[in-house]
Amino acid sequence: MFQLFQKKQALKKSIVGINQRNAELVYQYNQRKDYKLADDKVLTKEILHQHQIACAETYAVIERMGDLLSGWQSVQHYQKIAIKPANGSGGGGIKILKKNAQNKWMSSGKKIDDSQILQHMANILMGVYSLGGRDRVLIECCIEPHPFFHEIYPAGVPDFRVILLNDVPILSMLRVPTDQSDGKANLHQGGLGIGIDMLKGELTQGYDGKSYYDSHPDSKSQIKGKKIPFWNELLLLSMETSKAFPLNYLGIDIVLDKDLGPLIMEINVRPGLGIQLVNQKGIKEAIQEHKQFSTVLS
Amino acid sequence: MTTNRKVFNTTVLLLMIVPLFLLTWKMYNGYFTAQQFLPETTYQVDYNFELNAKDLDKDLFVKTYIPQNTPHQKIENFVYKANDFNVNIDKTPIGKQIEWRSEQEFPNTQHIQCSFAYTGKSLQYDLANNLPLQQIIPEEVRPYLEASEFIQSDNMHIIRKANDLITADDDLTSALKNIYKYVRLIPAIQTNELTDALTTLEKRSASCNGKSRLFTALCRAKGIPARVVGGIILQTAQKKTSHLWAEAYVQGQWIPFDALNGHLAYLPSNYMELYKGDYFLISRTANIDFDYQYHIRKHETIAQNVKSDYTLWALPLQAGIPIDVLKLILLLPICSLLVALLKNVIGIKSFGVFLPAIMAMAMDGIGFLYGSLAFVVVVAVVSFLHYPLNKWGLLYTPKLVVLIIGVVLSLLLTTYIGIQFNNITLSSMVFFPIIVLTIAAERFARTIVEDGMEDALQLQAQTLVVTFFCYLVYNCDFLTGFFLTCPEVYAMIIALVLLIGQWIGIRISEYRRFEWVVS
Repeated sequence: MFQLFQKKQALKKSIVGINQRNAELVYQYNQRKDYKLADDKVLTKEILHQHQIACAETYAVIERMGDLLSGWQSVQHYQKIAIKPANGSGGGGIKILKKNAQNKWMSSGKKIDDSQILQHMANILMGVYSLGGRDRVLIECCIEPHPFFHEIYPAGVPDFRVILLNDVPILSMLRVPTDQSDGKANLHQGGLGIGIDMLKGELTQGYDGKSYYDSHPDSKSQIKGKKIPFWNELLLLSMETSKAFPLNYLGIDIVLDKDLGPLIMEINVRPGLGIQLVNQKGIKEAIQEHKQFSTVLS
Repeated sequence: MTTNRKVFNTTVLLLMIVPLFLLTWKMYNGYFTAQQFLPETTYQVDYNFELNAKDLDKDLFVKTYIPQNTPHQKIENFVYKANDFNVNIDKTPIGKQIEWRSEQEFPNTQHIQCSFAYTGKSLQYDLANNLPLQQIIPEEVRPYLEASEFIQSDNMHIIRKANDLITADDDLTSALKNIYKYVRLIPAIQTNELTDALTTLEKRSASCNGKSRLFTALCRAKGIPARVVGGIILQTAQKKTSHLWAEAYVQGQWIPFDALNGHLAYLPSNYMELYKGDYFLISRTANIDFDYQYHIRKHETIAQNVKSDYTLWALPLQAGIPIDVLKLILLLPICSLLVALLKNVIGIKSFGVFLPAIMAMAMDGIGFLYGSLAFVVVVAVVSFLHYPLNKWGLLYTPKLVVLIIGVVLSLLLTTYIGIQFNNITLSSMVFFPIIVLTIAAERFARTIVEDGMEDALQLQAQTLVVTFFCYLVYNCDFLTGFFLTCPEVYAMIIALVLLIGQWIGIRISEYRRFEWVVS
C-alpha cells in the first residue's frame, strides 16, 4: 500500500497528464486564435516561407472543387509529390505519389488513375480527414529520407518530434516505422519511438508501447548511442520555428532530407504525452531542468 | 493570489453555499418528504381474454384475481366488459376474484376484459435482530405451517436442507436470511412450467415459482409460517407472465421475499399483489379455446400534496409536462457531470463526448439490455457497410446517407421481429436517435481502419460503460423528484464542474500508462 502511494507520488512529480497538459501548458502558453496556425498545414507553411525556414516546397494549394483539375495538372511535371489535407491529423489522408518508368503515377507500389487521385482530393476538400469541416488540399515536394534513417529501418519516412516551451527545446524523440505500422511513424499506429539524449545528440532506447529496445525490433539495427546527423542544426531549426510562431508550447515535427537536411514537417499545439514514456522522463521533470521554468507547473 | 483566481474561488464558493442555505431552509420547511422526491408511478392495466366455446355440458366460466387496495397499492377506475356474461366480483380470504359466467355457448370468439389503474408504493421492512426462532403463532396463521402438494415442507430432503441452513444459534432474521441466500443462489431459468419445492431443491434450477415454493417450504420446515404470493410485475409491455414471490410471518407481519429478483424484505412499487397462497391466477372451464394477455402501460403521476413554491413542480403540475419527458431534461446535467468525471478523472474514453448521455436517454424507453443490443447491431451493420463504401472512395456525406439507411433498415427489421414475437420493447427500438448513432458507428468503423479492431472494441466497451452509468441516473426516480424540489442543486453541479475543469491531477488511467516511467 505504502509502496503504491510512493509510486503515485513519484509519478505526480515527474509526469504531466492530459488534464495538466491542457490546463497549464496548452491553454496557458497558446492563444486559442493561434491554434489554426499549427492545425492548418497551409497556414503553417505560409509562416515558414515568410521566415525562410526550411520546409518541403509547396507545389500547389487547392481550395475549391472547381480548381481540382487545374491544380492537379499544374503538378504533372514533378516526379514525386505528397498530397495532404491541410487540416488532417494523425497522418490521415496523406498520399505519396511517384512516377514510374512509363511516366504513370504510382501509390504505395500500385498504379493509380487520375480519377482516383481526384476523388481522393475531393474527399479531402469535403472534410473527410478533418472531422467534417471544409478543408484544403496541399500538394508538396516529397521528402527523400536521409540514409541515417534507412540504417535504422529501410522503409517509410521517420521524423523527429521536439517539444518546446518558450522557444526552448525540452524533450525530443525520433519516430520510426515498424513492420506493424505500415510505413507510418506515429506511436499510436504502431511506430517505434526512440528517446534522445538532447545534450549529446544521441539516440537512447526505443519504445513500442509495450517494451524498451536497444535495437530496432524488426531490422535489429543498433539504436542505443547512435549519433544523430545535423543534430545542432535540427535544434536550431526548431527554435527558429518556435520563434516565428506566436505559440509558446508546441511540438515540432522535423524530417531529415537526403539533400536538403532538416526540414519542418508540421507543428502541433497539443503534442502527445507518449514522449514521456519513450524518454522515460516526465515533461515536468524535463521542464524543471531548465531553471528559468522552475515555476511553470504547479 | 491573482484577481482572476480570487473571482474563480469566490464564484465556486457562492455556487456551493447559496444552494446549501436554500436546501437547509427547505429541509426545515417540510420539503424533504417522500412524495416530494418520489413521483408515484401509475400503471394502466388491462386483462384481455379471448375465448370461444362449443358443445359444453356445463357452465362456461373464467375466473381471475384482481388487486385490492392495500398500503402497498391503490386501485382506481376499475371497469370490466361483460358481453353476454354474468359478472361476479367476490372477496375471498385468498384475494379478490372476478368471474365471468354464462350458460350460453360462444362459437365465435369472445373478447372479455377488465381494466384499472394501479398506483404502487415500494415497501421496505425492517428485520429486527435477536427475535427468537420460535414465535407465538395465532390460530389463523397456523395453516401456513402445513405442507401442501407443491410445497412439500414435510419431505425429508427439505427438512434436512432446512436444518443444514439454520443452526441453533440463528435467530429468526438470520434464519430467514440464510434461507433467502440459499434460494437466491440457485441458478435461475426461464420456464413457464410449474415447479414444486422438492424438484427445485433436487434440480437446483428454477424460475420464480419454484424458488418461491422452495423458500416457503424451507421456512415451514423450520416452523416459520410462510406462503407464496401471486401477482404481476408491472412494466410497459404486453405479457402473459405472472410472478410468484414469498412472504414469511414475523411478529405479526408478513415480510416479502423475492429470491429470483433479489428483494429481501422489500416489495418494489411495481409488484402488483393479487392473491395469497399457492393457487392459479386464472381458472376456467376446461376444453375451451382460450387465450389471454396483460396489457400494461406506465404513467408517472404526481402526488397531490407536493409543495410547489420555490421548486420546479409547476412544470408537471400546471404545465402538465409528463415526468417521463421532464426527467430526460432534468437529469441531463447529472449525466453530463458523470461523463466529465469519468473522462477527466478516471480517463474513460467514448465515441463522442456526450453520446453516452444521449444514448442512455434513448434507452430509457426500451431498457439497457435491448438498448445496447441495438447499439451493437447498428455498429455491426455500419462497420459491415463501411468496408465497401470506403473501398469505392465514397465522399463523406453521401457515405453517411447510405449508412443511415442501413441503420434505419436494421432497426425496422428488429422492430418487425419484435412485433412478430409480440415483444413491445424490441419494437420500440425505432425511437433510437438514428443519426447520432450512425455518426458514432461511422467513427467506430473508421477506428477499426485507422487503429485496429482492438482499439475500436475497447472504445465501444467504454462507451457502453459510460452509457450504463447515465442509464442508471435516468432510472433513478428519486433524482427526478429531488431536482424538481431542489433545482438550486444545479448551481452546486456547476461549482463541481468548475473544480473538475481546474483539476490538473493525473487521470487514473494514466497511472497505468505511465507506470513504466517510474518503475
